[in-house]
Amino acid sequence: MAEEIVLSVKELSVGYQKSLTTSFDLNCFSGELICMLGPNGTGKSTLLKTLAGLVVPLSGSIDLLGKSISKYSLKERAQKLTTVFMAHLLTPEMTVREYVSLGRTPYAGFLDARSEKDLQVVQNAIEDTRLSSFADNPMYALSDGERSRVFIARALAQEVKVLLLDEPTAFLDVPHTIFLFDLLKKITRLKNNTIILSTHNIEYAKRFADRIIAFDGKGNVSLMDVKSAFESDFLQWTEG
Amino acid sequence: MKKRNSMSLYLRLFFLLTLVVLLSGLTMILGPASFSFKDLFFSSELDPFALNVLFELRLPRVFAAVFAGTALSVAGLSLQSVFRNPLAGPYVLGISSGASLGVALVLLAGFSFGSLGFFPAAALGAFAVTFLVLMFSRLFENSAMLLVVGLMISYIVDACITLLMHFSEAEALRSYVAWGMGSFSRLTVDGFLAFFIAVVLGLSFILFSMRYLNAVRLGDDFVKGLGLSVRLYQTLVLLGTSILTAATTVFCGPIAFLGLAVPHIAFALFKTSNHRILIPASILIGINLSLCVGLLPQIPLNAMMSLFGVPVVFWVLFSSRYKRKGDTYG
Repeated sequence: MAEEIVLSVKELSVGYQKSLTTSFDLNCFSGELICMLGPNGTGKSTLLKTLAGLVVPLSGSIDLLGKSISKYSLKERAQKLTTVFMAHLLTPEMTVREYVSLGRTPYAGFLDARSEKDLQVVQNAIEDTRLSSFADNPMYALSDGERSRVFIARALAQEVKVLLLDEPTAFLDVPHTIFLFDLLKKITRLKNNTIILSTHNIEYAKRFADRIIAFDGKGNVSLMDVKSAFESDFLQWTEG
Repeated sequence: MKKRNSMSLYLRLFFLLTLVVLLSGLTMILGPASFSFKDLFFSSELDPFALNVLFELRLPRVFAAVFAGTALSVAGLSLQSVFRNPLAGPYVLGISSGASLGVALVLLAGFSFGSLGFFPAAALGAFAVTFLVLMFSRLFENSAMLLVVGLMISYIVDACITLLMHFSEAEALRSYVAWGMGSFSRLTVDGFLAFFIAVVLGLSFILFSMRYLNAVRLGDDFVKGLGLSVRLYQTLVLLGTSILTAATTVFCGPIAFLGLAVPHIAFALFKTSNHRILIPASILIGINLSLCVGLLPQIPLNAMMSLFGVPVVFWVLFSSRYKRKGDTYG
């Protein structure tokens, strides 16, 4: 697997007014599934929002594909990186296909039309997430497990390099959690995408992640491979 | 499956368009002044009275209904999307009241913009209220609070209008009250052009924001994740709705209800959240509703609008949208 640095973070510290973390570096490669582990309130969501450009970093720099993230236009950035929101406002009458089709927005003109190619990309995203049988059902009729796959399908339709997910398995039971992790892992392998997600499911992180971003609960953040993360002091809080 | 869907989509739009043509025809034929159409078309001499009624009274009424129906339904649809609230509309949020205050200042207090007439005053009033509401909307997460803010603003504005009315001359008061009941019969030839330009301008701001409108119900962060600037498009849409509302208020009076009701009918008939379909659908439904209500020009428009429109909305609501179990509306 050709490993290229997709996301490079230098001396970053994140937070709103007050810094939640000491400064840290991260280098994320293409085709990696990276899990973020940390106690509540230590800055996992804030880091994801900072990487997504929704929160301004307190210090440090973020490079996406070798270019500073602040130099991207909104539209360009949306073609490279997107956040998969797991619980957000929904319109009940929106169908699965309509929702997934919103992923093509960064490629659309101002009248928001969809080309044949767009429709095909949407159809592929629906098939890749195994949503074909209810593609034309409204969103309100879906279970939590199905809905989480619809959210991911939208990001796939956006054809980005980097997917950020905040607690994608929070509402899911064991079979659906395994299915989702498995799906995300396949996406990194087949499409060479980088996926960064936060989770409280330590066992699944151990099983599926390629590497771990560990928050030690005292403000330190580090990206390590799975084995050394669990041997280090960073995940001591998981012992309880 | 998909082919059939788009077929029935065009069929439904075509049906609505046919209805527009039929109702426009009826508006031309019906009216208090009576003359024989047979004489008009088949006699060799043109009846100047009949021509006058047709082209100076009834045709402007058709256009007024078409413009007002377009403007208010698009404004209502956009506001409901931007504020993510099924109760939003130009009247509910106080935007119509803002425009009314502008008109009241001209009619009652004698402020004058020269040959420009009411429009600048009404537009200023509408903008002022829209941006007040927008400012407050940034402070409150909860969109129900926004309606409270909108209602409060319209109470204050209405109180100002009442004060103006209290201190004004009987003659000015009469013309203001008559204006307030709403009518499609006031559009003049000069007004026609101004109304047309305002509708095209307002509509193009909103059409330009189509991508934003399609995503905005899913939240501001979601919109940003799709690479769209929330601030830019929010401002464009609100500018557009202000222009549309102000123009309608100036030329037809403050018309309640239409902007709130039409989007719900469009959702029910077309069952989509795509504004590429919802906007033309709302326009056609809004025009049809306006033309229906305008068929009896002797009766004040606002009374007809509610008497005729409320049952339609009830029928639509009870037959579809919110009748679902375990559904939470965002």
